[in-house]
Amino acid sequence: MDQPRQNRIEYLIDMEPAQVMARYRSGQVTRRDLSKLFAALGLTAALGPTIGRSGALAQSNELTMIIWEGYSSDSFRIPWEEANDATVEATFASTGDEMFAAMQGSGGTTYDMVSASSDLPQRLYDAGLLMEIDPTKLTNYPDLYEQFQKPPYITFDEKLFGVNFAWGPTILLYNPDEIAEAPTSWNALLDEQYSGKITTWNYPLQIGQYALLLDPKPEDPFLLDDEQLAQVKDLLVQQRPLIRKYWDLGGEVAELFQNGEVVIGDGWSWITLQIQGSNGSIAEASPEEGVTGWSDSWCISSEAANPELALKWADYMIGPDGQLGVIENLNYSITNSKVVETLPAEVREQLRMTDVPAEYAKIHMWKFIPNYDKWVQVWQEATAS
Amino acid sequence: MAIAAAVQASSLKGAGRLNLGPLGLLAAPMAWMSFFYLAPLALLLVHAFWSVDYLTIDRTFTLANIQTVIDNPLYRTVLVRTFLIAAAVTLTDIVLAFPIAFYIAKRVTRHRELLLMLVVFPLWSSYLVRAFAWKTILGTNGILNSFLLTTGIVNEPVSAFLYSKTGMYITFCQVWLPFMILPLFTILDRMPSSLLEAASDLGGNWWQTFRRIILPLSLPGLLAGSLSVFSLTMGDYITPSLIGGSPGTELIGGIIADQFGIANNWPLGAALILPVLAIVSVFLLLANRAGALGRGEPG
Repeated sequence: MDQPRQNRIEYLIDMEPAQVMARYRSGQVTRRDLSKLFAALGLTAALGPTIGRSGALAQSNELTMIIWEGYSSDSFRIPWEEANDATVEATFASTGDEMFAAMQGSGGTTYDMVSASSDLPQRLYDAGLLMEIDPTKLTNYPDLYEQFQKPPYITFDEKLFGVNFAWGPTILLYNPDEIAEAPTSWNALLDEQYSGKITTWNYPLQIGQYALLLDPKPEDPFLLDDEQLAQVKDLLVQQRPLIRKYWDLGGEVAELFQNGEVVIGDGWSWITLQIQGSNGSIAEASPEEGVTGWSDSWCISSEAANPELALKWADYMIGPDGQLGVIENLNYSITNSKVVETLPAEVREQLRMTDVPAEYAKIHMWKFIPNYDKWVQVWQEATAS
Repeated sequence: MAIAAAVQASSLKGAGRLNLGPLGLLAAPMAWMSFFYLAPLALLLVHAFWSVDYLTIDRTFTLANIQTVIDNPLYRTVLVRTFLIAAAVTLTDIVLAFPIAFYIAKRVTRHRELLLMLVVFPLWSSYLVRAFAWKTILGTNGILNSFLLTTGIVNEPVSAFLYSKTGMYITFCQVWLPFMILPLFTILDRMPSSLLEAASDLGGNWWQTFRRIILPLSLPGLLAGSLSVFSLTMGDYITPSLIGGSPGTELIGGIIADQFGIANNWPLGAALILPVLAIVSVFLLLANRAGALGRGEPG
């Protein structure tokens, strides 16, 4: 937690004293930062020969981010770091709520960027934590499909607050060695025959996924009234004793499958790749009730220490290298039309990108939930029982 | 506690030379505690009487959160469950720690430091590492199940060890055990062996000696250890989320952490802290009365 603040200080160390004082007078640098800087200068003077200035310099080019697992995979992060002489310091979040709490808790100073899914930017914006993005500074922006250029979940007051770079569904994952026939319904996660072998994501937002099982099915599983919420709660209470473990991080799901703790659960294709990568048995299924999904954007903190660098990263991630990296490492769908056109037909088909607008529309995308406090309450009451 | 004892000891020794008096000596630690512990705690607790309005805190006085804590059966169930697990862990640790502490204090002459070191050793590793280690031991294909299967004690792996209350109980008992052994050791070490010899000279059997000599004299250490183990379990939220089956919400610590994290409802979280604080405070008062905090010097 202390790391970024420390780096801010190191950033100041490399400035001219006059520059630092100017920032102090304009309020950009707090008195606390200043006293920390003096303390650090004393330390640097003492340890100078061992640490060296170059270390401090490299650190000042650091980009901190709180993201979904996989969004800083080596294969596309390292080339960017080398090209920009920068380092990426990534923290994995288990839910969008956690991202929000991390951003809000530090007033946006801890993380320069957040990989916000479609439900989150509204909250971040309302809390004053987002920086406006000027699309003309993004060289790859014109190549995005039109629907990803100014989507409603990152556009507020007609201004852009995110760079939409990936999307995909939350699907059923199962172990084909244990379950011969592919499950066709979300009911499989409430099936007694898998009792004690089921995992589901620990996230109130998942209520939307279980709302797909309601009869009549709500038109939008993310807009539920109190009665519908109560119905979903009944399902979740019924499911509770069958659950082996509510998972938090994707890596945990991979571990649960590989240790034989579970045979079925929900997750994303990144998890599938993780399990396949270590030769585990895993298969994906897309239930007939439909799927929920997410559309992820790079958002920049209003207090980002390094907004220029953050923009460069966002631009890179919607460019060919970043986009192909997302496909290769995560198997998620992408937003750059030029890159999609270069893909082989089978990849396009597999990743729902033969006709992007039509296939995107089939997924119930996460969205800002007005009565979210009720969702949290329902989720807690159902899972803690 | 240790600090209080140290302050007490040094104030006795230094009284003639420095002439600082107990207040002067306590000033620095008191200031530290007030500023870095009591003030933040008070700030936190005052949230219990505020409310949250979407993203901002509404600072109008309200008892609504207290009402929610009392009315909602979820919080009651979880509080009772947490209390019971904390009590069970404390009792188990007493039973486990007593023989170990007694053995090191009274029966070992050589390598005592080594044995004490082994007791403290687990504390050098991160708490997370220890909880994770238990995952590999308790899992369906874990070490414990492999052992039970190969020895033929069970035919099917037992899944109830991990992601369950049993798993949490086992993990808690182990990770907090040093906090029980150390105060017990300290007090048993100071207990004159002549008392034990006298007891046996007078024809007392081991049970009589234990019940009438050892137990009453070690009560302060026992209570001090219990206090640590009990309050550490009452407030924990990491073990439940790693070892428990529910998303950490099986114990009250997890529910409170969720209010400050995902739910972004600090006022309700602060209100939920109150009953936990009350339970621990009652325990603290009882322990203090029984002399666990250094006043009732044994013998």
